[in-house]
Amino acid sequence: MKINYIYSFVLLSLLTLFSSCSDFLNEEDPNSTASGNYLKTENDVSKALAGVYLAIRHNDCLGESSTLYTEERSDNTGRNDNQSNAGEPFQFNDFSLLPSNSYLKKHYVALYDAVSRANYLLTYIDQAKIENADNKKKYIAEAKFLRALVYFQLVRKWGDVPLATTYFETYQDVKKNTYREKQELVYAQIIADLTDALDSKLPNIQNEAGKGHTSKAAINGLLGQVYLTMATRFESNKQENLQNANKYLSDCYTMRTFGLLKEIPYGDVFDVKKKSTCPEIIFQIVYKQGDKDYSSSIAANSQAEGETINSQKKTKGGGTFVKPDLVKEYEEADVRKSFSVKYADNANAKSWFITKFRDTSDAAGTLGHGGNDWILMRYADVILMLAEVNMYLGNEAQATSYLNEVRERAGIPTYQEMQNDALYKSKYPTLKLAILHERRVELAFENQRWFDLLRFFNSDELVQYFRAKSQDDYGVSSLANFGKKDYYYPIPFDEWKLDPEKMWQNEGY
Amino acid sequence: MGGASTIITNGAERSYKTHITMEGQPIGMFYGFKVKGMVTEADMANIAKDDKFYNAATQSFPEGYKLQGPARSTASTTKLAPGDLYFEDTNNDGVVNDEDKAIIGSPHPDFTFGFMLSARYKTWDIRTAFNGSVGNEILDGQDYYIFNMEGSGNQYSVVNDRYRNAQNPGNGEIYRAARGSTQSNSTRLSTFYLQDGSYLRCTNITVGYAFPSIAKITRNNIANLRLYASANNLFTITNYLGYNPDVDYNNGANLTPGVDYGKYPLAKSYNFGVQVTF
Repeated sequence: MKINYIYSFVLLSLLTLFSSCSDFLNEEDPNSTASGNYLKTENDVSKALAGVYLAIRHNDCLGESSTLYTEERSDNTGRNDNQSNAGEPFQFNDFSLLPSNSYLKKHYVALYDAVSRANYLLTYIDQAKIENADNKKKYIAEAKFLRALVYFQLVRKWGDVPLATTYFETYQDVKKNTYREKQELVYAQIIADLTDALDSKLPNIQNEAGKGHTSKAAINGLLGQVYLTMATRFESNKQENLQNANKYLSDCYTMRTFGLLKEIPYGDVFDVKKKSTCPEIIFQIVYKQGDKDYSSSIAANSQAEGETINSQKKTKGGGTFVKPDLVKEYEEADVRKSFSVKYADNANAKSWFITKFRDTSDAAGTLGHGGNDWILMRYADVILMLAEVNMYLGNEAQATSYLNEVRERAGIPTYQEMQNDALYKSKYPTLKLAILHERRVELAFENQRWFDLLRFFNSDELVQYFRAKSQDDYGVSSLANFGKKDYYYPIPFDEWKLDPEKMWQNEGY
Repeated sequence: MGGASTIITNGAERSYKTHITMEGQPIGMFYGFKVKGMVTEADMANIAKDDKFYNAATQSFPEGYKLQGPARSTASTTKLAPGDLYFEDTNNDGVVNDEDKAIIGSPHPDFTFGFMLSARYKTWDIRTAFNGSVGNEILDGQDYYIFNMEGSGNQYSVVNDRYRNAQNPGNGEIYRAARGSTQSNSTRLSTFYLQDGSYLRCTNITVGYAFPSIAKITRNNIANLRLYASANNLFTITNYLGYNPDVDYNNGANLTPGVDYGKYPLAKSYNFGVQVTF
């Protein structure tokens, strides 16, 4: 009897359970939130943005030790060790890059990591509750700026590249979007991102506390550089691109807080004590002096054995090798030469090394934990780009006046006065070459030279330019290896292998 | 796996690629270059002839050019010299590059086996157990350091048989010692670093002696007394130079089997025992 009651009671309660609210049993695991649900508060978004900056900072991305992928590709610096494991990074400056080079893959992956993090923020920011609409716009602007910055690197280094603007969650999404998008469309996306980023309340120039974040001056400067690059790459819309470049670069120039460049001594730009107050710096990656994790090691790493000019750290070997080709390019009486390079006489060195980045303070100490910020954009760069734009537009007077502003700060005669110098005239017969020369000595070792070369020359001219150099002044890397293929990097081997059609390999590899 | 889904992974030191997983092949096959031979003094003249036609900028020879000397590797940053190994140019374009990489070995054995043998003779008995595997190849991840002929650390003793000069060519397989020699460039895997992982291992031998008339001696208090001695992992017959040819899936990385990263070797153990039946 009793059993029957219990039986029916259980049956009844089961029935009611299944007929009531159907998501009573639906729970979310608080320990593993789906990525799409993570951004909830403004703090979450701020952290996501910090994640993008962190990706940019990586030494395989755009950090201070990423010079292998940009500066060491050019005729400024390079490596002399071509043996054993060092043979792999050596390929970059030797122009014998193999698609299976693991450093190449690391760089490619690090760049796309930054893109992916920016896409994550931009895809899911609407789910977060941000009360201040201006703040929300600022986060979006910064993420878009960083994404554009990285795509600008990708498109110049590889040409057509996969273009992703949303965060992918499924394998099908990834597969659908893995194909090399045409350069023109990538540039269009970069322009769209940067123009969008301008429409925000970011400050013109960041204050001391905000250093490391982007600013309107940085966005304008980058936008100008993108238009300028497009003008030299593509025949169509050339005039329009030049006009836009001029507009944005001038906007950036107007936002400066100093008068003329000569008010800022060259050494001040790289002085660790002045890094947060120097008005010439527009956008930088901040490094923390004395910190074992976030300090800069560029000063110590550049220093040759037996030298003390860069850092208190006892260094070995030759430091960062500077090609004699660059050393010979500095003009006499140019203050930038003695500031940027030095010859190391030590038996284990006997070569020129970089002295542009120094931190000999006690705070950095003998471990070389320097505080040097890594400068990604500064006004000398913008001014010389303005000279370049005006040269293309035919405004020679404007162009030379910008050029002279930089030369005056370096303590050397103006462009007009140099026309009487036979050596200068023979090396740089045109204004174009004079500007290229000025960029080389002003911005040496700042990851600009390779992009300058790509902008000033097309692939045929570049081959001629490199072949004309003297091998003796070049180091161990072989100039004879330079060919048309070296205008671009190869697509990493396993990326190409995954889909040889849609991720087709660059010519010559 | 559908369409173009070839996966190339690195299973050993640094990041150089060692395994490939592709349609039509087992998972995780070794992927790299095949060693074709060693450069001799006689080859140098032919290499010089090829140099004249070699275009360093495009890393290629003119169309239809017939190669005189051994094919050069584009991953090598130093010139071919006597005593260097050269690789097979599978597509015959005169240079050895990523396109000449092929499947060069299989980490999967043709078969694994095991057997037991036991015998008894009067009062003695012996039981043995063996196991083994045949046909698999192993990449020893530590060879990157101890078989690189670079002078950066201790090397296998077989390095004594390396090429020294034309008068001392060694055993013809181990290349010359040099930091910049073709092999020590960490960008590629070749058959030089693959070893045969076949082995026969005696996992257990037990020998026992049963006292014959123990029952009589102890007046049926002890029915049987047997002494035995056994050894575990007594010996392994293998050509493999590393610790233990029974390598696993490299700590669970399914796409890179057959890599030995110095898995702790098996210990021999010896046991003695007495078996008493009352």
